[in-house]
Amino acid sequence: MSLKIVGITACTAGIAHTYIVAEKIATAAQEAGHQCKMETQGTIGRQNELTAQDIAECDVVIVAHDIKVGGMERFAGKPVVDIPISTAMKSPKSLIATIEKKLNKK
Amino acid sequence: MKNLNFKKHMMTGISYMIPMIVVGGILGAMAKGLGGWEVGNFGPAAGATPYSNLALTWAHFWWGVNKLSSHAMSFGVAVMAAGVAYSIAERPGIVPAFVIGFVCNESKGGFLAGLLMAFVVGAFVNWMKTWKLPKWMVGLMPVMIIPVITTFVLGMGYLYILQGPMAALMTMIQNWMMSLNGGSKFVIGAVIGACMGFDMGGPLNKTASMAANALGADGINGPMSAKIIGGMTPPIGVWVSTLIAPTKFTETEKETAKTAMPMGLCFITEGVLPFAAADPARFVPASMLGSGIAGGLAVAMGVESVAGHGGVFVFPMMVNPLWAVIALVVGSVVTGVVYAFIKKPGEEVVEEEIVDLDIDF
Repeated sequence: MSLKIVGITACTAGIAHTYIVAEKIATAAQEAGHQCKMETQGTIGRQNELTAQDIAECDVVIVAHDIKVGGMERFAGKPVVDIPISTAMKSPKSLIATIEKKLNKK
Repeated sequence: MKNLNFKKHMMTGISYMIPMIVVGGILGAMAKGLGGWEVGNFGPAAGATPYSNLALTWAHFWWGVNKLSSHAMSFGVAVMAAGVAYSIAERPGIVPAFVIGFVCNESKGGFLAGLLMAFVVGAFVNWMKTWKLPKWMVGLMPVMIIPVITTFVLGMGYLYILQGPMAALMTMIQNWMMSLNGGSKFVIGAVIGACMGFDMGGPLNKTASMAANALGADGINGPMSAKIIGGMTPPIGVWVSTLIAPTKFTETEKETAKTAMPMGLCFITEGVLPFAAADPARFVPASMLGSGIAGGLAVAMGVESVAGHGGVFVFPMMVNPLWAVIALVVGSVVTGVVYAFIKKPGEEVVEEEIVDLDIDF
C-alpha cells in the first residue's frame, strides 16, 4: 500500500536538525514506496509549505519537533504522529515501518 | 493541564531567544572591538533624546552600534519568556510574558526568574481561557481582559513577592562563579565545554549555552569563551581526524568533514552531526573530551568573551585571545587524535535495523 505522508519538522536552533530530519523522513518514506512532503519550520520561517490539497489527500501526518510548531489546526481529523526530533533522527525507517503497521491495523 | 511538556516550552523560548543573543553579542563585540572598551562613554551630548546629537564620527557610530547591542541584550529574557508562554498558551501569552520577562531582567532576577514567570504566565492564561463569560465579553478576552489582568496581577505579584528572592539567588550564583579560582574555573569551563560537545546543537548543548549566556548577561564572561570554543572544536576536530587517519574515512565522510571545518570556525557545531548520528558511541566521547579540555583551558587561562556567537570572528575581541586560539587548537587536536584512533575503518552507511517504535496517533 502506498501512502501519502506529509509532515512538519522544527528543532530548537532551527538551522540544522530541522532540515536533516525532514530529508531523512522523506528519504525513508520514498524508499518504502510512499509519497512524502515535509514542511520545515526553521528559524527562517516555513519552507516547502504544505498546501490545503497536500493535507486533504494525505493518509498520515508526521510532526517531528522539539519546539512548538505552527499551523497544527490544518490537520484536524487526520492521524497525527507526534514525536521528538531525535526519534526521527535516529530511526526514520522504523518510524515509517511502524506507521505502515499501525495504519494497516485500523 | 494533562501534558505539561516542560522541555518543549522551554526549548521554544530558547529557540526564539537565540537570534536576539546573537545580534546583541556580535554587535556588542564589534562596537567594543572597533570603538574601544569605553565605547559606551563616547556618545553624543544628550539632546531631546540620547540620539538627537548623533554625528557621523567614528566614536558616535560605534556608540550607536553598542546601544543597539545593549538593547538587544536587555530584551533577550523578555523574548525567551514570550516564547515559552506562547508555547503554553498561544498568542494571549506573548504580551504579558514579554513585559514581565523584561521586568525580570531589569530587576536582576535574570534568566531564571524570566523562565519561572513565563511558566506562571502560561498556566494563568490557560486558566483564564476556561472562564465562562457572557458572550459580549468573549471578544474582549484575548485583546484586553487576558493581557491586562495577567500582566497586572502577575507583574505586581513578581515585583512584591518573587523579585527579592530571585535577585538574591542570582547574586549568590554570580558571586560563587566570580569567587572560583584556577582549578575550579577549569572545572566550570570543562563542564560547559563538554556539554557543548555532547549533542552538537541539541538540547544539552543549548542548555549549556543558556547558562553561559545568562552569566554573560550579568557580566561574567569567562563561561562564554568555554561555550564558543567548546562548540567549535568538534567540527574542526573531525576534520583533523580525517587528516590523521585518511584511510579510515570514506570519501563522503571526508567531504562532510571538509564542510564541517569552516562551519566549526564560525561556531556552528551542527556540521558534525552526520558523524555523531552515524557513530555516536565513538564520536561523542571524542568530541566531549576535546570540547571539555578546550573549555576548561580557556576559562582557567582567563579567556573572556562578551560576544555570545561569531566563532573566530570574535576571537580578536576576546580577553586573552592568544589562549583562546591555544585552547581551540588543543581541543580540536584532542578530538581529532582520539577519534582517529578509536574510529572503525569506514564502511559505507550501516543499514538501520527496523524496530517497532512506541508511537501513537
